[in-house]
Amino acid sequence: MQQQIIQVEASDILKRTARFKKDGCRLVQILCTRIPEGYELTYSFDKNYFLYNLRTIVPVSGSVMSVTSQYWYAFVWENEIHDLFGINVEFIAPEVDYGGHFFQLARKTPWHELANAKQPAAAVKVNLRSGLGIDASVKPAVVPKPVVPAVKPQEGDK
Amino acid sequence: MGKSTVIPFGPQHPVLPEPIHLDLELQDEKVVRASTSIGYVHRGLEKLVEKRGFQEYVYVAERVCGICSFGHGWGYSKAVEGLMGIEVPKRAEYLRTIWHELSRLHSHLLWVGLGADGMGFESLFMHAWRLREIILDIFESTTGGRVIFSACKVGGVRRDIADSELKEIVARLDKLKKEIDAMIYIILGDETIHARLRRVGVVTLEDAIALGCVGPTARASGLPLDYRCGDEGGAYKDLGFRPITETEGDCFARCKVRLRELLQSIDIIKGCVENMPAGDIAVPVKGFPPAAEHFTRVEQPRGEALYYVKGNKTKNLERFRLRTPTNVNIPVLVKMLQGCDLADVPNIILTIDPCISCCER
Repeated sequence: MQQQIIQVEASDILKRTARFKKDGCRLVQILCTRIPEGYELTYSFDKNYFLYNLRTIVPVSGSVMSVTSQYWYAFVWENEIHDLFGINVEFIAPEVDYGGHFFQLARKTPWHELANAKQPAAAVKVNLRSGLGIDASVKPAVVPKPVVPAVKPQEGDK
Repeated sequence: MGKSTVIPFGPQHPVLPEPIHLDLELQDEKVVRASTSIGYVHRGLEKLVEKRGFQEYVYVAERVCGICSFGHGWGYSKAVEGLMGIEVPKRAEYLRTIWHELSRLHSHLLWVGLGADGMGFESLFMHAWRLREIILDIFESTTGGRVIFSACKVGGVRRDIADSELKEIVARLDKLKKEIDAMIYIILGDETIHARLRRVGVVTLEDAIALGCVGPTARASGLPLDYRCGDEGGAYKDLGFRPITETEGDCFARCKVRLRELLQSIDIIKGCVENMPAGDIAVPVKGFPPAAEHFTRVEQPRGEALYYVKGNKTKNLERFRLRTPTNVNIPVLVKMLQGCDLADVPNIILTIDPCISCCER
């Protein structure tokens, strides 16, 4: 698929979104990924089946402006990333600002924690399940135990 | 003007196969405002990608939805193939197209049944679901499953369909087409269906664009948005695909688009069988996904779905994102409900063909 990622500052999101709207683009989705620096937000726009992605990084304590003033239907994703990740989205259109009650979840902001699956390639051993040809399990590489120096026998020991 | 009343609609309601909640603010019998909330069955399937191998996750992606399960498996596989630079054999692309269009037939026939049931047209409900059984039988004979197929994998497909079996499928679809034609004649000519669906839940072309509609909901308003015209892959480009549109934008137009797409899907499958290339059905996949990201899209029965994958040079992907068509069609549903009669609410909800389990990845 034809696609492009454009890095922007978080403060420029609303301005750039307005420009995409003026150009007749459709907002396809808002994506949030939790990264060590905070939240990586991607706003995807489509025109003639070409996908333009605005990318910005918001710190954990930071916030981002809502784009519902340009694309009203963005409230679905803005409420979603607020409820799942805990990111603060400011000035969502009042009639569709659910204030954390869009998703009826048992636990608040379940995706706020960083992913724990990031392992270096060398630490992963792949087992092939015979017949199916699929990866069956992940086994971390065995870490050698530290060598403990032998205790010198004391005088008087038997 | 009467007193304003708020009534809860769902999450458990006879016309809703899955849980979504709507607060309907009424004045007399008119809905003046609707607000929705979801998340009653949120499963965290996107998060699960961190715990499953990238090849193993195809099985999870298929389980996002029981109706468009093949499409989700295909979308996820296509995203990983794009990330890893894998080129899928032509025969696999054609086989994927056949199964995907069979899924569309299955989904639209299921929808006809649910829509008829919502209107109280029980015999049509049973008739549509009887026809759907023919599609499920084809799935069973070609993949071994009726709901979850496990036919798609990263790099191609797991199963081939023999040429003799393909001919048999075409013969069964020819018989099915006659029955669907008869069913369409009944639906489009029935006075009660006209009375319940015409000029109800109207979405104009301008509204469809402004509210970001996708799928049959957008096409019924005259917006020719169908990702099968884009670089979806499969056999669509070879077969010269053109989207089906209507212009009225009401519940009846959305119904007509889906009925016409039933016939179109049969033609696409027959085109695939006629032009089926010979060769391999999969290529071997070596190594892990690189530290990169990739977006892809698939036109599901309910509309465009977007898939995003991000690799980190390990067996597990760092992030998988699925934006489903119902996720985008919820805002237009809220707008459609404003100003409608309370009795029309079930029909309006059903004509966007909501799939809440898709929303609750």
